[in-house]
Amino acid sequence: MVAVQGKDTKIMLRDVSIYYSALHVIKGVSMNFLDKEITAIIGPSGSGKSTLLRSLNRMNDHIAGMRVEGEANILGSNVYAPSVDVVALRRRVGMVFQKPNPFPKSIYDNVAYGPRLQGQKSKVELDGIVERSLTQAALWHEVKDRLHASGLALSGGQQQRLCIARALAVDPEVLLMDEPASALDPAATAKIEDLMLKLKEHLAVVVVTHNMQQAARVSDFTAFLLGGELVEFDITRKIFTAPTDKRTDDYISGRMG
Amino acid sequence: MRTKYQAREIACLLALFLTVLPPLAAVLYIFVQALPGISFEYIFSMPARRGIEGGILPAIVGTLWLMFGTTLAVLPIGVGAGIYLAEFAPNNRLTRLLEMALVNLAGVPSVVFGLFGYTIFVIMLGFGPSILSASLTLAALTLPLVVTATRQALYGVPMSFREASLSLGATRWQTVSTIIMPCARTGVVTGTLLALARAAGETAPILITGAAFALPNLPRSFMSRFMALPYHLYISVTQIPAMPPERMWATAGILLFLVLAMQVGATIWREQERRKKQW
Ligand SMILES: Nc1ncnc2c1ncn2[C@@H]1O[C@H](COP(=O)(O)OP(=O)(O)OP(=O)(O)O)[C@@H](O)[C@H]1O
Ligand SMILES: [Mg+2]
Repeated sequence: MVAVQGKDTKIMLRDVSIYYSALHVIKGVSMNFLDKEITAIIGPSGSGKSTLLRSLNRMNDHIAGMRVEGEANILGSNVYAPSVDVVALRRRVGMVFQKPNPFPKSIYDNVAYGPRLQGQKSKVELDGIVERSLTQAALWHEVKDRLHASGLALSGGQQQRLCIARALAVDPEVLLMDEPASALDPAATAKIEDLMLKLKEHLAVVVVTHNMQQAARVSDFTAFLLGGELVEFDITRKIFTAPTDKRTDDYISGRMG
Repeated sequence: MRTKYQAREIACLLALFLTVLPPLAAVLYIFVQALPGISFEYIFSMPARRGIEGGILPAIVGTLWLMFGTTLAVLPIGVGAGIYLAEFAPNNRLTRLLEMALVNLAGVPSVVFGLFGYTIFVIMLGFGPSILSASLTLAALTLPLVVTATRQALYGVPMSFREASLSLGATRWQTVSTIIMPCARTGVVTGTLLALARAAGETAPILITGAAFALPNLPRSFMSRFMALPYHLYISVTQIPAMPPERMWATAGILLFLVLAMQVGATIWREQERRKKQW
């Protein structure tokens, strides 16, 4: 397997294992995620994609019995070191969820939520952040005249872009996306995919997807996870045209769940 | 077969009528009986001749004082405990023990709370028979209701809001105060109102913690003794043979109106908010 490496490694996993009590869900995964690249994680349902993704910003911390072994380095510091400030970590590693989940607040307040948490009070600054984030999320032109309308009044696709804008507003270095388009129609999905390609100019994107075409279209690297094992991890084109492992071949050609 | 099922359905409907109709009839009956005794003077003047003449203003004002004092005590403690249980408590044996205690507390007879309040607030803490002692006793009585209402309201807020907030670098406390509590507000407020309505009608807890049958003055502070509608009614019925019946009905009518107004108000408000809510 090619050890993906580059000058800008944002996340480095070394022999990471994750357990839910006795259940061994992620089995010794080692891989790198590069800056300004999109890494796709594919694999059948239950293979541990969400578990792996959520371990990167410690969103699984609250689950009793969850245990992580090995080393997960984000920008040189171990995510699971006892001294890590989880709150600060999550500001640097943003997340977009499968189902759009805007707060029942205005569009403006949704985007301004993160900066306000960090103590940003200046109206001028917040206005700037809101406009910049919504523009980055390709939503500005659709909502600029109704920033104070509820975020929940938007369509599903718009809501998801609002959630992306909200995540971008805290200026993360890594954006984790767990099936960000699986609840959307093809047109809205295409918009999210375009958006991902723009986002990678600024940050590292990690996307979990069930959609092979999506992984092939947008990602630079693809990791195939099966039963918690990293079967193959390589340049996306290589994975989809000349996979080394037979199981990868079976999966991408639809001969497996 | 079909008729057999229909018969069961009708039996259940009958049971429903038996549940709803008698109390409804009782409420109507009380209001009808109360009407002749209710007058401007009855509501807004002081009692005379041991309540046989004059009005019951101090009882109305006293009950309002009690509601106010109970709210001040029960709201921060009940909501705080509810937030802890729903959002922060680890899932362990101690938590489960506390939850069990809470459930059982709600079943403790109110006269026991009266004795508890008398021992702790009136005697041990030296608050004497006063609005303070009675309010704290009523707060203890209603605490389980407010804690439970708060927890229920918090559980009703989607998990995805918590995740979104945490993922943006919010602490758990920031998540609760800026996202979860505003969403749960309606449930907490209506739960508290319903608990207060229950407290407003209680006699036993205030019996020995500061209620008086007839007082010539309105309460001046939380340390004053006080009159209250349920206690006034109780004594009128049991201890004052000379009390004209329409005056007792009037007291009952006013108390019932107060309690129902709180309950109906809370319910209507909750329905309105529910219709407005988008998640
Ligand atoms: N909170 C949890 N407690 C216990 N086991 C869990 C928990 N969450 C997930 N699992 C188990 O861990 C395994 C991996 O789950 P995970 O959600 O990471 O899979 P996934 O690849 O994201 O699947 P999907 O494609 O369906 O989203 C599954 O067997 C699942 O049952
Ligand atoms: Mg998943």
